[in-house]
Amino acid sequence: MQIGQTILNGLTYSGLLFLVSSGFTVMFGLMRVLNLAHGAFYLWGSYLGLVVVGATGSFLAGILVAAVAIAVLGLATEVALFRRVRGNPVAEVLLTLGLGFVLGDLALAFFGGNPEQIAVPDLIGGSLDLFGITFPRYRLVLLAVAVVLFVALRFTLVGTRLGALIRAGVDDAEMLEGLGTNINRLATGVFVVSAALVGATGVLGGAFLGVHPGGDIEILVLAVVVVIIGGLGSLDGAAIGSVLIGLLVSVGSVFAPEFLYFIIYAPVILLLFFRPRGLLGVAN
Amino acid sequence: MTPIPKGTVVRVPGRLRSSIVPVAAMVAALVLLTSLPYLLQAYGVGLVTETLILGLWAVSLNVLAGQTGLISMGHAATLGTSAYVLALLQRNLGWSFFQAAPVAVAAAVAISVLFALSAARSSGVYFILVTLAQGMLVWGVVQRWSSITGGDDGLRGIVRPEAFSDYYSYYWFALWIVGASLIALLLIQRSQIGLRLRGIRDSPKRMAALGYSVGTQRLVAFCISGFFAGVAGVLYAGYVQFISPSTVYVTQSVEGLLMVILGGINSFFGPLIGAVVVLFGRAGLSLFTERWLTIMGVILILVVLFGHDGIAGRVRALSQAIRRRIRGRAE
Amino acid sequence: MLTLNSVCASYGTAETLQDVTFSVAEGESVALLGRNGMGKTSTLRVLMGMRSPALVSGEITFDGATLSRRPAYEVARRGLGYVPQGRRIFGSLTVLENLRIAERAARESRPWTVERVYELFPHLRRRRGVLGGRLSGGEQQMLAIGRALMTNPAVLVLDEPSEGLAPAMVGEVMAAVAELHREGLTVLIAEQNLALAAEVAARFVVLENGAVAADTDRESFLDDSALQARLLGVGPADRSPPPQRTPR
Repeated sequence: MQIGQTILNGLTYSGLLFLVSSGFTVMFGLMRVLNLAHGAFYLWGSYLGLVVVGATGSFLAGILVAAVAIAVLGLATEVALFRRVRGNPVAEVLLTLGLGFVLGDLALAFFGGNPEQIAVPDLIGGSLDLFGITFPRYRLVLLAVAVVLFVALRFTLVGTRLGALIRAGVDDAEMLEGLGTNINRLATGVFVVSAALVGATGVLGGAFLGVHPGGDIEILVLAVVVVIIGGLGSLDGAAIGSVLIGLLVSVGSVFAPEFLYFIIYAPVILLLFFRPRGLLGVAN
Repeated sequence: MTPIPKGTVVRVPGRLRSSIVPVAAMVAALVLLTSLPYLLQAYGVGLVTETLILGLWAVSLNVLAGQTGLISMGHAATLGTSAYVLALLQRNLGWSFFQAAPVAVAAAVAISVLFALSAARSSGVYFILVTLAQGMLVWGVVQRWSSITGGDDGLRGIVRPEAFSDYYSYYWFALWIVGASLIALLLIQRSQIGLRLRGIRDSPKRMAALGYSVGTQRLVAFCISGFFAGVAGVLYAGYVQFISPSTVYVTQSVEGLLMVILGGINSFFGPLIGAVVVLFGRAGLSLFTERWLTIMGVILILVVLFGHDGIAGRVRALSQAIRRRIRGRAE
Repeated sequence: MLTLNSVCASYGTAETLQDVTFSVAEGESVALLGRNGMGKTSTLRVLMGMRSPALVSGEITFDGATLSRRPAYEVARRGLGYVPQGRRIFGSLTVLENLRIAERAARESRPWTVERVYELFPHLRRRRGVLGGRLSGGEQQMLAIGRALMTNPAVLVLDEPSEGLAPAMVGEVMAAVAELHREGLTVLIAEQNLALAAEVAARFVVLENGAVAADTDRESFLDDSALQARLLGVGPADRSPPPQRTPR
């Protein structure tokens, strides 16, 4: 049943990738802001979760604290940094890049270089027999969380006025503003939610992949790959990209560990050659 | 070939003449730098050697970033490819430095061509992302394919040319090659080729209307950039005599961008100044703190927020202000 | 009610408006005329608080409050309903969603609702579930007007609503604008076609090279064929559609 195990591994990894990349891609769609500090936000979420779960023993408390703290961090950086260079995408990218380095390095300074693991609560720990495959229960929970988040985000985007506003902003932000919507506030709201999401994901991911220095760039690059494949700005694209990359990583690390990264990145580069905006990317 | 309009032919000598001053300045600087080993200890000479090599690499990055408007986040891959190829040829086939170096530089050009082709249709933020993926691909192969590349342990035992094996003679070797490369780059920048690259940076549509393919110009830029990054890679491998995946990693690419942006993206020598500040800054600060990446990040943020045109831009603005004042007094 | 006072604006270093001064009274219908590139769209964009062209100097006031240098969303909230050039419908939103996102709290007794927009443009009711990007040009123009109305504006600002539409559609759209004006809505409309402008506007403000060259009532402008020829480049009493644009 090795293949089943591998596929299940891949799908649960996809779940984590979707959790990381959904906020990232919606934010890009709305404001064309590519937040390269996203990985650092994730890492700080992980470390905060590690500390809080360690101190209180409550996994849920860890998630809440990480979400709130990273949301506040997101709000602060949005107001203090990103707004100053809005409309200049390259400056924005470099700014978030610099911020990512600072946050990543400070995490190393505060929490040291040893790999850590966030403890999974007993309720969702242990393993489960599934059609003859023994599989960690926690990973299945993670996959379920990702599916629920996808459904919730999709409903918000498609079924609510807020979602329609966000999609309108993706289509034509200036026009939306000309109809009376404060687009800056909308963008800040989306950015803060996206930060909270990635902060919480840091805790969930920290219990899956562990917490270690360099994890920020690892997760950022994977999120970048996911949203490039799916198309920047597209939620459905992020879901498709997550599943593809999750499965590639899982299959690749079993069958061709030496060329794992080649297997991940080569299709991305090829895809971008033929479809420069990804599978479902938003137009200019 | 597109026929060159008459007016352009007339302008070429003027452009050449305007190259004489900076070229002469560079020759003077080379003479001065040549005497350095008589003034400094081995550590200082080593630091200057590294600065020269990575400075050349930063200038080669600026062929893409500044001259052509393509912000690449994968330029460490070009540097690293050349260094790894040199190391592998020396270790596995027993080639000498001078036998392996041309192949290594050719490999850097080849990978640049691949990069150019795969990024041919992307621009702006998408270009940044593709180059990030390109860099990670090369890094991933180097880091994972440990049976060949040694993985995270890297490759040791890179041999310098026999005549330049001491720290000071290798410094001279690096100095003259970097100097020659910079002169070549400067002449390229001031030639028709450089003019066309700036053309596709500033108004790609107009250049396309004039019959220049943007894709071809980009390919040219990648080739020039890749060639000199390859030269820098060979020199770097010979200098450190060791190569590991960290030379290929994003952090290295970003450090290159930092040199370019800090020094001044719109200036030829800017990235060189950036390299001096970054490498000397890191060497100096490493005595006090391990938080180099934090400092690098903060500098990057500050330069993006406040530093229009980097140090070179600031110097230019300052010298213009001084000149204006002098002229004002004279009147 | 709405006043532009010595408005100058530029795209970067290129000056586009040099000195635009005119005002629109409550309940009035004013047409902004002028050949291509004379500053009609720029005037409306500056008025609406768009980021480009940038306002260099001058002042815009509305109901006694200053509009100039306010962000676009505030201008819209104060009661200017914008129907932009090229319609700019949100292509990935349905007709209904396009209307819903524009909805603002009403300032009048009879606020605009989706239902009321459908009454004005019955066409849109049939197409309510269709994505904006799939609509015909005429339908998009109706939707753009309906969308602006959903903000419950005091002034409807239209930028060349007839541009690129089939003649039948032009008639329907212009009739709706005239109807809205009769119901008491203040209208400011940029238009190239003199005949169409004359259908909805009683006063003409004519722009030339980014400045106001004439500000007259409809009848005196229609009678002055020399002025028409000079400012609009049309023959006397020419009421045919505008000439084909010459490609650059």
